[in-house]
Amino acid sequence: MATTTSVENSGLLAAVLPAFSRETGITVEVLAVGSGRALNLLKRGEVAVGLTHDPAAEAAALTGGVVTGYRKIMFNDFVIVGPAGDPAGIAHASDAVDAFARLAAGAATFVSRGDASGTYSREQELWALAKRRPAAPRLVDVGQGMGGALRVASEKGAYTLSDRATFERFRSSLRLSSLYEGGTALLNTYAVFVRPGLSRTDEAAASALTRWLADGAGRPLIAGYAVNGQTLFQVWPLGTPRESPADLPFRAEARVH
Amino acid sequence: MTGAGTTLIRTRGLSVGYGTSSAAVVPDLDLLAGIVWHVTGPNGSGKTALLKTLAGLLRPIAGRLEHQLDKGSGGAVYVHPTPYLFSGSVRRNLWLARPSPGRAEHAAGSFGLSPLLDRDAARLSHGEQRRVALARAIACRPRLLLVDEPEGGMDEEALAAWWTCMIRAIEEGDTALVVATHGQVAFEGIPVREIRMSSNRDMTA
Amino acid sequence: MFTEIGRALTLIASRDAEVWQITGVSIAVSTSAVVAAVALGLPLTYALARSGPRGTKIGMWVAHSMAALPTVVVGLTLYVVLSSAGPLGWTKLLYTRTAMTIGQLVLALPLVVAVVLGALHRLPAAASESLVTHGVTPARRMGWLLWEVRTAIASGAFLAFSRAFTELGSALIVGGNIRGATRTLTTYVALEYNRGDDARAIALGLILLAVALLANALMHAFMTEQ
Repeated sequence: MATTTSVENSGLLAAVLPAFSRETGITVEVLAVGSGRALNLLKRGEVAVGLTHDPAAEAAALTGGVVTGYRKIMFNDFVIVGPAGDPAGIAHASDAVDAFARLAAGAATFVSRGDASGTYSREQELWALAKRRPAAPRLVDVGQGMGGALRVASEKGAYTLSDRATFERFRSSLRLSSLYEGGTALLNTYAVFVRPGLSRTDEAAASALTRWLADGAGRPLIAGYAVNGQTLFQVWPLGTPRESPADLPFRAEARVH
Repeated sequence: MTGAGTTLIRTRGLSVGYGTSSAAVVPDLDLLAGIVWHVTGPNGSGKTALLKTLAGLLRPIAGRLEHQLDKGSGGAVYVHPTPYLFSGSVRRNLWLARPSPGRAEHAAGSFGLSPLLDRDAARLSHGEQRRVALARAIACRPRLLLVDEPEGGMDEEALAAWWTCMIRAIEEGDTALVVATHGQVAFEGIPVREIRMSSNRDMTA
Repeated sequence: MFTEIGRALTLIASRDAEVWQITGVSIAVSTSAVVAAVALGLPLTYALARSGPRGTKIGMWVAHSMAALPTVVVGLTLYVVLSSAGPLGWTKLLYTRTAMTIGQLVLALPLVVAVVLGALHRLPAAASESLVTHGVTPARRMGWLLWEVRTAIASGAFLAFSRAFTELGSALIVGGNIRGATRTLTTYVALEYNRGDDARAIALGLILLAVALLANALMHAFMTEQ
């Protein structure tokens, strides 16, 4: 299974997958890479299952026939974190786009993932919606996973966009606070899918895993996974559409894109 | 002859060596300038140890050395039986002790090394290398020159040239030469004293 | 695979700005580390050699042990020391090229010491004795003796450069792979393959290989000359 570094960093899979193995006798080997790379690995046949959180890339993959059996399984949100003093004043922003506009305008530094990850995609979308981005030296591109990006942001007193799960996990070793959260624009949805054209046995195992996560015993485990008393993921509400990358975990008119 | 007869080094109850188990006892010495001191004795009797101790390169095992000599220019210089020449030209080696201008060339001339000044020291014959080592020592005008077995690789002519050089320095009065050698040491007009080292640790001076 | 390599070679030939910037960072960091290693290492090694057989033995043992340090251990230790929670956090050196140079200096220094100490140790006693007896001052003696082992110094420097230039663990942890600042050939190849830009990753890998082989060839040239 290929997944993103954010999922890996949150510790969810390490907590939840052993139960799946015990139940089905199927071992899952997890490769944590950026969302873009995960889809790439799936396309090249290196992995059978993917778990990512990049709706734009997933949509492209779906149209391209790269993935099948697409299902949203859980969601949480992104948070904009930064130094406690909040020099850019984003805590008072009206929404996420406004927060990013303030970051672009001010003097603060922003740490970017700089990889093809779901977080990076979302960050780029928000800069696009804000119609500006920080000038080059203030936008620090680290080409690392979420953990690494958070560390750099912490050391440099900079802002960054993080998924809530990773931020909670690393929180105690960081000098960062969550300064802006909430709103549709910061919703972070995760989906699983399999590679088409797998052998019978592989297909059976892959579907077993995705079903277990989406509808089976995996659900309560995901819902119950907590770090420091905080639940990191919410399971996809039953009855809400989940087969399309653009789906959101509630019935709403407004969509992100 | 200024300085002739000056005591350069005095030793009392001296034992030399590389460790207490192999110390050689040395007869009490008053090394006077203007004299050639001939150290004799079989191999292993401590001749090298004595020379190195007098040069200040080795600590005495027992006894005292009373002297006012530094190392190098105006002091004591020791020349190894197998000299070490540094990488570079003969000229560079002669310059080792930073001799005053002209002295290096003069010393080179005394030893017939003038045509070899810019040659790579590593490529010289043994005899030539020894001459360079001796010229290097003389160039810095030591008051006490300690030469350990100089005859290896030197032909008669070279040896003769060297003795001539030495004699001149001694005649000027304030230098002494201590030479450890199996060969003969005899000069006209220069007193020679013998320091006999013995493997039985026996002493005769 | 061959199309990727082809694209990589084109990238190198086209003098792609980012490729050369990253190469420049690698070379600058490793070269400074080696220069510092030689500047600190030579007096240190000389002092060890002078201190006699015991000092030499201990020095060799320490140098060999440190030369075997895993690069990630060096990186992690330096990270802990330089992070804002650490004793030297006030220097704000974490995630800078200076921090990377320091990490590589720790990796390079033991190699320089080991090679030069061995060479000094092998000099005949007559070498330093000749200097002493001719009244050469201690400072000049160091100069003369180090010049005698200059080939070993060069070979030690190239060996150290190889180690520094090709290491990943320390550069990654204390550098942070920041684009335009601390991104080197090794950190780029390690992390950027994640992005899927294979042509660039291969291009940088080829440059890394070429420089590493060149440094090794020079080291062997100096070693055999000895």
